[in-house]
Amino acid sequence: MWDETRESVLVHLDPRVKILSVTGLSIVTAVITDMPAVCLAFCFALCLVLVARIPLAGLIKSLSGPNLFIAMMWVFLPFTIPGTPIFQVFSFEATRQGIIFAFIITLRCNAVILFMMALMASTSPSSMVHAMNRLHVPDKVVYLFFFTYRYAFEIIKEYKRIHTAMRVRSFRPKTNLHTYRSYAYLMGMLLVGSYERGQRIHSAMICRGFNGTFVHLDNLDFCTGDFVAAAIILLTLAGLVVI
Amino acid sequence: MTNIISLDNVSFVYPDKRAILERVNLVLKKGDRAGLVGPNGSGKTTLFNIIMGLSRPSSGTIEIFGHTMHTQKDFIEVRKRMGLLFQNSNDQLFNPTVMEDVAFGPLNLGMDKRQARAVVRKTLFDLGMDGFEERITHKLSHGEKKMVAMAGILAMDPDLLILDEPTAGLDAATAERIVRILKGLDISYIVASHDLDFLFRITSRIYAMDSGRLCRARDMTQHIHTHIHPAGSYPHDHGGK
Repeated sequence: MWDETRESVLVHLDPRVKILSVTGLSIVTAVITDMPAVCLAFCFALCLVLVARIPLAGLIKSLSGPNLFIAMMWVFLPFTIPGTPIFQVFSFEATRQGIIFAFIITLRCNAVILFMMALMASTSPSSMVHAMNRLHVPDKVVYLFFFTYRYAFEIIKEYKRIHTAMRVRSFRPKTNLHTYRSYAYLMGMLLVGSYERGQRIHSAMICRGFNGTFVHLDNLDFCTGDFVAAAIILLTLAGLVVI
Repeated sequence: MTNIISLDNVSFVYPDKRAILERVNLVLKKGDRAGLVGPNGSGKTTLFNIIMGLSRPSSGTIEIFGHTMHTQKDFIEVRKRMGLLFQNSNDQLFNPTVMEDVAFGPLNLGMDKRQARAVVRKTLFDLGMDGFEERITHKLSHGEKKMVAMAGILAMDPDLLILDEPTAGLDAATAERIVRILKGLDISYIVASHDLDFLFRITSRIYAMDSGRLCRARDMTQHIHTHIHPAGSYPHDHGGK
């Protein structure tokens, strides 16, 4: 999550608007194939990122991972799509259609990531849970999301603790059975530990009167800003579909 | 005085036939402040789980607030009046922010949102944790987590506190805060701990678990002894006294 103290209008948007917008924008962006429409989606995503005031360093860091995979795609796609040859590497010909296709995929992927960063990362997990509940997302999905967010950090910490404990006992990963077995035990311990922790958390919740339904502290009410944002996003979606 | 808890010949046996509790008898009356000591694995946590209805005893009778517990439904009602502090605070704090976590119990008790927020603020203030409302729970220190977990159960205004090793792994200052908080409460509690000094300061009676049995209960007797000061030569205060 971004530091919400970096004041942005997106932080104050109703989370329901954000969830629906991200879903709509991502689906439409993922299926469009025309270059002008893809460019429009990407430009709109950039605008949202600017409005969200996401720190540049965080933006680059978040985009670098997915773009590494996209870069691998650039190695193959221009040479495997039939079309008009543009240049040649050894005996492989890169085609105009291949390059355009790779470019479209790159823009589409980045646009979807930017939509998510701008709209979802400016929302606190509890607001997301509340909004998902109000949007009638099945309870099990909502709770799964909620607990995954909360306990992913604990599982990572646990992994690091066990891995450190292995290293201080002179464990050095190698390509041998001992290494595979050790990592399998590590994963097994994480799994068993997470299961047992899950049971303890459930017990703790029961002790505090949990009866299967979360009661939220936030009140979600649509305001003028939400309607304006929803209208802008709907117009953009319509534009993407029409183009 | 009214019995808050009454356990009669309660036993607990694991499916592999290993007996953890054997014919345990325990009576806690209103106003009692009891301690529970015993080696690791002696059944202290199991006993607490049985009292809260989280584990089902193999045999015996449990009576809480004058009602005999038969089914989970019976426990649901009495849990509203009891608070269990877990040994590991991470098991208890699952909401993203302190405000939401402490409000979890009061909201489950049926309080409205405004009321719940007010209770959270008051509880945190009473525990010296005001300003923590919007802090992220998983980023708190071990001591802070313990205090927030404590706030989470105190916000439900229980008649009985069950504390499972509340000072384990805490620094002297945080442990001292817990002592002050418990001494300032006007409710009954039972505390499991390995720290006898801590138990002597906050309880009036100490039970000992050994090989699955609650084998003795002695009243506190005053005695004089010397020990190394926990703060050593570090600058410290004694709660402003």
